[in-house]
Amino acid sequence: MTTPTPDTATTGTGDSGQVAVRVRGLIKKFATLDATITAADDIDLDIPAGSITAVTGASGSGKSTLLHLIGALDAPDAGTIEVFGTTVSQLHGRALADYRGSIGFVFQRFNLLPTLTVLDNVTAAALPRHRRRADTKERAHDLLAAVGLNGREHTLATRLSGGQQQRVAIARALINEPRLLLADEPTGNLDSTTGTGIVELLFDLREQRGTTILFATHDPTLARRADRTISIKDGQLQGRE
Amino acid sequence: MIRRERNRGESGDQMNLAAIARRHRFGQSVLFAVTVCLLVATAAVDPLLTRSFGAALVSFHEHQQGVAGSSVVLQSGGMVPLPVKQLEHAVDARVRAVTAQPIASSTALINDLANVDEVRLQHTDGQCAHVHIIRGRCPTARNEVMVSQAAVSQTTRLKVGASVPVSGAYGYPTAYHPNPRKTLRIVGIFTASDADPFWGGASIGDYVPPAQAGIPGPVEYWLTDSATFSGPLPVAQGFPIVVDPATFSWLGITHTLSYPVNPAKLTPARLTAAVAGIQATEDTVGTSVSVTESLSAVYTAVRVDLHQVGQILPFLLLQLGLVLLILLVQVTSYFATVRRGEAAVLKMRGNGTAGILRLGAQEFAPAASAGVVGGLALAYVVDGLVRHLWLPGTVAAAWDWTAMVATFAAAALAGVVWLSCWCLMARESISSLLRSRPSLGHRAHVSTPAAVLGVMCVSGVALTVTHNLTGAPVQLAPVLLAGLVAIALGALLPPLAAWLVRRLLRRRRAAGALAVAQLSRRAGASTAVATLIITSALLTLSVSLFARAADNRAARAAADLGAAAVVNATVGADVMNGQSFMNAVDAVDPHHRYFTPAVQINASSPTSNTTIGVVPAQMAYIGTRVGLSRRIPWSALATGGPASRPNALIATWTTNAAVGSTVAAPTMDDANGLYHVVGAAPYIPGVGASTIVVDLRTMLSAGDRQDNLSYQVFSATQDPRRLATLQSALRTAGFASTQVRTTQQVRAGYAATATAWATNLSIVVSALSVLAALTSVVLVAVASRADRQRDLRALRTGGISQRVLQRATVDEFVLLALAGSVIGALTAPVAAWLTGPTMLWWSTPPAQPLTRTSFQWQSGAIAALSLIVLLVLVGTVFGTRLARSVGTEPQGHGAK
Repeated sequence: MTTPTPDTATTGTGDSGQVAVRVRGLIKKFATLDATITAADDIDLDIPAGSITAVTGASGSGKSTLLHLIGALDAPDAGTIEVFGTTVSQLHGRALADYRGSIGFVFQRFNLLPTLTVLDNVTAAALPRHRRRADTKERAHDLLAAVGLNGREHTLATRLSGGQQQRVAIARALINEPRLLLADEPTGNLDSTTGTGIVELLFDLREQRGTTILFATHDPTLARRADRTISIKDGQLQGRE
Repeated sequence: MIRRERNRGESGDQMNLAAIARRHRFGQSVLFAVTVCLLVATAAVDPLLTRSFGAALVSFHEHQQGVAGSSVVLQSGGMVPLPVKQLEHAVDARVRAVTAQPIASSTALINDLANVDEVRLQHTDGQCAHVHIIRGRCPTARNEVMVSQAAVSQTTRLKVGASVPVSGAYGYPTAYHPNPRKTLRIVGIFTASDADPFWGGASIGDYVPPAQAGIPGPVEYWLTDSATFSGPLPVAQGFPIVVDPATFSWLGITHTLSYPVNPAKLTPARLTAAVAGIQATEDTVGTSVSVTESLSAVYTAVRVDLHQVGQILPFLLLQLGLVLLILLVQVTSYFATVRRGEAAVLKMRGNGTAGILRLGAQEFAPAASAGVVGGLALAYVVDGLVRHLWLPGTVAAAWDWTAMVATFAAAALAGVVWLSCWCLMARESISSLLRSRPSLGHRAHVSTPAAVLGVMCVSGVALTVTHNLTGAPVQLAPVLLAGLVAIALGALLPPLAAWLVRRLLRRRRAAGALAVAQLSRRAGASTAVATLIITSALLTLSVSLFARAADNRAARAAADLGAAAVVNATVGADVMNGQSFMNAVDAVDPHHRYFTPAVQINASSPTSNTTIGVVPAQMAYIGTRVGLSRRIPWSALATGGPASRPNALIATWTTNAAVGSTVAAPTMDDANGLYHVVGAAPYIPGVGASTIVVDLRTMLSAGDRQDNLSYQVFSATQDPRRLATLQSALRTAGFASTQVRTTQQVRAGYAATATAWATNLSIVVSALSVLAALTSVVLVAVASRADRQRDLRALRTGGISQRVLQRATVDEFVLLALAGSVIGALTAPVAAWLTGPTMLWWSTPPAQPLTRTSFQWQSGAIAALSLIVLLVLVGTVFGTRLARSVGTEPQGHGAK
């Protein structure tokens, strides 16, 4: 894996200057028992295509909220989000579901379906649904091999180690060949060695497939390895590195 | 088309996912099925037990009243008796619904002119099957008769084939009827057993010589065909119609129609209808026909109980239902919570709220169905066990449509619970589903549902305190009170826990502080504590109620009898006086260790007093021997007082007089006299209403009346041999018969009531609710397993030893069990104080002030302590095993 040069980090583009994600005036608030929390406070952001961007900040700073909004897992209170030209905030119904299926999402807690095998977890996320099952399965096998889980296809997902489950989650996230991969604290539940392996995997994927990767982390060591780092505090961008 | 294919494919995927989920999460399906099963069973068993209780009550009182073998008897006599056919038409269908085919009987007194014997001419349907014909045959035509062997042995005139001239009984002719002259032909000779109940106690086969004057009734019975009683009954004005005396019937015929009661048909509903039918029959036939039956007495005995059963059981089972409902909510919420991550992923795949609900329904539908069917079956099994093992008499099983309705209602309720919990989860956004559930804050907090429940609890308790909630609904008050305490504790748990943690840390009690901190942040912990509080309160209170009710029944039985047994002696033909009665008793028990005589002069009118003479010292001795705690001032009667104004004790529950005043009551000299009140008690055991108690010898010395007297012997023993000796002595002394009543019999009567059975059932109900609470505790442990693992690892990383962490886990569950059980147990006496005065203790409350309503401390404390020890033990064992299993799991499996 190559270490990004400062010049690359500054420009941060991997796909001839195309912007993968464009955020303008993003606002999101949550009401709790005690108060209203502003998780995204007028955020403006451009993520170059093909880049690996780390979003850092303390717990509760709004990292996950930003990724959820970009991934259309939640709706903003104000502002717009464009992903590869598609205005996400205007999508509804089946279009919204298709959009979610077209991007990859990796969660801190893996969120695999516990009653399914490794292979089924990967194929269950496949789009479009009228694709031949054989094709989907073949692709799933390839992905599992790519993430180093060859031979574990028929194991129940919950019987794997944490690192292995996260690899399955990454394979699941890639089944639909997404152009954008969102990872919310992908190493948060893993030990440092395993976490490093996962990060290496993500970087390899960017090299092999040109996938734009946006991951949230509170680990500064991991963040430094990204092309660029975005810092969030109390829902506001603090600066870019 | 693509959309249809996509939808078909998706639904196929969903079914596959649901089937896979059921296979891999079989335990969850089982738990859900069991919870639904118990909830449905609780609902369905109510109508079944109501029916069984009612049937058992009727069966018990049938037996007590001797209904089996009894009949509803219509008897028509007088100048113009109603014929049997007309009687039959008058009988209401509701009476026929509980009886067998009627037995008709006709009878008249006639004279055997040859012997001047008085003969009872009688026909009864089916009579020939109940006699032994030793010669000839049964009469089948008009004026044919069968005579007894006993009568035949008195004279050679009576033989088969002989013709016997007879007339109407002495007193003919009258102004309305000439004296019929008929010739009866003897066609058979019979013998009959006096013991055959068919004859109703009449000695059909006997012959009493007319020389034994003074014996009421005929000297012999002749059995004949029903046609012998046919023919016109001429009336006055010179008997214009009839010419031949042989053609018209007898005067003084009594037609009787007996409907034997069929106990197997006697259900509570039919009994109620039959009593109404008897009234309707009486209204139809008028005063010329007498109706004799025992069903009304049974109805009177069970009426209140039947009504109470319908009220008490639903509220009793509602308590268990509420606990099970809380458990179902907890179970379903847990299942929904553990699927939040899956739901997020499925929503990302395009499944909306409906899709998530559909998947969940597909996964749990088989379990729910099994639970519903199993619940109905379990209800029938429980009903069967109760009927066979507990209720008196034989109560048959029966299908009950109301149980089906209750089943569907409970199933619908379970469905609503499932839907509510699942909807709450499924409607959340993906982002929200991905987040972990927020832990409890540090401030006191009451959720909206808890607030609503709290208001209901406060209202219920307030209504109970102000005595506006009475009767069967009062049973809910303990649940409401315990629920109120539980809600308050749940709301205050965070700040209470925070305070306790700080306090324990200051005292360097790390394990305890950790246990409190962990417990206060566990999802479902407040629900588990609430359930334990409610069920502990219920069980402790139920045991107290059971013991207190048993005490009350014993006290009432003792108050009714005043001794272990009472022998009532009925005077026969011989003249009896008090002294010979006392002598008979003294002969059996010269040292007065077991028996003491009493003679009662009965009241002359319903509003006047009765006088009972006893031997005071012996009554005091017997009272002590049988454990009667009531302090009766027997010694005040030691001196009987002057003959003109003998001393007397009164019971203030019916006699309103002060000590030192005088009361009027009958004396032995056939007149009312004045008695000087020397002592009073709220009630005197063995002494009835409006009865004064005097010294027996003083009473007997006042006169020698024979009328209106009752003779009793109070016995300190229930030994059958001693009682048999006494009864024999009394018969020898001239008493015609004796009847024995024991406290066991009386207490059994009070124990066979709706209130008593409900008290017994409440212990079973509350024990089951404790099991439900324990399930809730287990669920808290299972639900918090992942969190617990993460927390323990983080704490170990922070330097806390494994020993302290394991100790904290054990302490967490011990604290949970202890808090719930202790608070619940402490709530019970308060609940008893609240509900005691207004709850249903009796079917028919006693007039004597003997009902105690307070908490039975001995039994209640034992129950509470036992429950606390048991729950703490369970908590310790469970916590230890959980601590070990979490502590020994290999690191890195699925997490840091």
